[in-house]
Amino acid sequence: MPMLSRRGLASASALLSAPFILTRAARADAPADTLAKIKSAGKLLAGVRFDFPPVGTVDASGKPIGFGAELAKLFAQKLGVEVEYVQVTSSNRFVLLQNGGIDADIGPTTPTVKREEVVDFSIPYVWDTVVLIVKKDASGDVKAYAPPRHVATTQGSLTADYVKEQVPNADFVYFQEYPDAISALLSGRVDAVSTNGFTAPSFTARSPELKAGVPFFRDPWAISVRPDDSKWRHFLNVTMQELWLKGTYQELYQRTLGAAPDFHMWSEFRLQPGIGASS
Amino acid sequence: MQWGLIWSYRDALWRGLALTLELSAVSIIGSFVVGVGVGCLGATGGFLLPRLVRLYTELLRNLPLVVKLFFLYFVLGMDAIAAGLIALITHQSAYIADLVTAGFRAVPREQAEGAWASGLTGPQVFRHVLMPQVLRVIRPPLTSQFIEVVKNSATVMLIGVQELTFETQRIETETFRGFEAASTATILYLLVSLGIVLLMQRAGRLVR
Repeated sequence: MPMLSRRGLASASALLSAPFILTRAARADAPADTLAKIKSAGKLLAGVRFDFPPVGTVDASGKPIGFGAELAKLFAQKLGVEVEYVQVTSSNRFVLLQNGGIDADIGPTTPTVKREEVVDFSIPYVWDTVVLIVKKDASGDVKAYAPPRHVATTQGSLTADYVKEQVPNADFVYFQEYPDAISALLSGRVDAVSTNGFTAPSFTARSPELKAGVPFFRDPWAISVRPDDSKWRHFLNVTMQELWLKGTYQELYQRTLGAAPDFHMWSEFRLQPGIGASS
Repeated sequence: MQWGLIWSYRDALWRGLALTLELSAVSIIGSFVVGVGVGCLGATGGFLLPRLVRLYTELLRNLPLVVKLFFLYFVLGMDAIAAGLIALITHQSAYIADLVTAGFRAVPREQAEGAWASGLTGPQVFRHVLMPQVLRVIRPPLTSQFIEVVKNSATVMLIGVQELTFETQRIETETFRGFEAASTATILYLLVSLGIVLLMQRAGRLVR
């Protein structure tokens, strides 16, 4: 960064540069070979969500539970190391990955081209759907939610893009948290809230006047790791497929997510999953 | 570091910055007018008026801004921008009113009495003797209050208003370039705040 080395700059510019200096320091902490680091440290730093049931949440004692937390435990078991859970949110998951705070983000993260520029993704490991949460007596069809109707979601949620594929001129209101979006729906400020199929029941179960609409998009999720960290990513991919072969993966999926997987994670003639009906 | 990425979001950032500037400008003017008005009422004598003013400031500055915002938006069903403006104005006007009342207390009582005795009318005493001194006293803390408005304006993104913080977070949620996004927000807010400081220094020459 030539800006820093140039002489005679006012103290104001040093102040402005502070975030960049911090950034560089933070980046330096991220290990190049995560698999080797985990083995030598004896623990896996698993980034899991606390706010996204049933993929990642906490039990009454504050212990992380859900699909992501249990899968992390299986990874650690195979390596013979401890698992240390680190809470991640939708906004800090990649910062933590970049600065070495976590070794993998095992949560509801959809791989996208833009995100691929910053991180690497495992094979898709959960296939979710996208639905609208609506009032009980309203239509569950996404096509019915063109303007003047309003749709709410959280900022950064990709579900908005999927709604816009169906309703290009959809009028969105972006909240920071799902409870606010649901409040807006209950108070009539918006007509629908777009969210993930696995998450929707946790909201509709608590509000009898709401229901989940018809799923209209299949949304894949993947584990994210630091870029150019092939050995670690390979380990995760292979381990998940081994677990699938043993049936452990399907059992975990059914038990935590409430549905059997509707895709193939393993096939004997290719590494990447063949996607389709499970039968 | 990928600063080109920030550049590719320049339209969104500009829209966010413009909205933040608009929200801040209207809220600063609004809270100044309301705050000075209420503060002057608080400085008058009598029994009822100062107590009503006290009620206003205590109620509004003790309620968190977010609570006001959610009340106006979710309970009263106001439009998001209107709810944001009213929340920002009422919130900061309570602090400014308190400042103004304190400013009147800082002017020695004898000055008003002397002006009164020299034949000036009540409004003249207020306009030519008290107000210039009050404004001079409160200008530095007032600058802080105005900067506070700019920073508080980020709160309205909680009800879906797409201002500067919202737009910088959009960059982060879409690309995960959190450092670049946060640094950009830092620089832009600093520039706006510094702009206010400079403007208030200029204004300081007017009341000197």
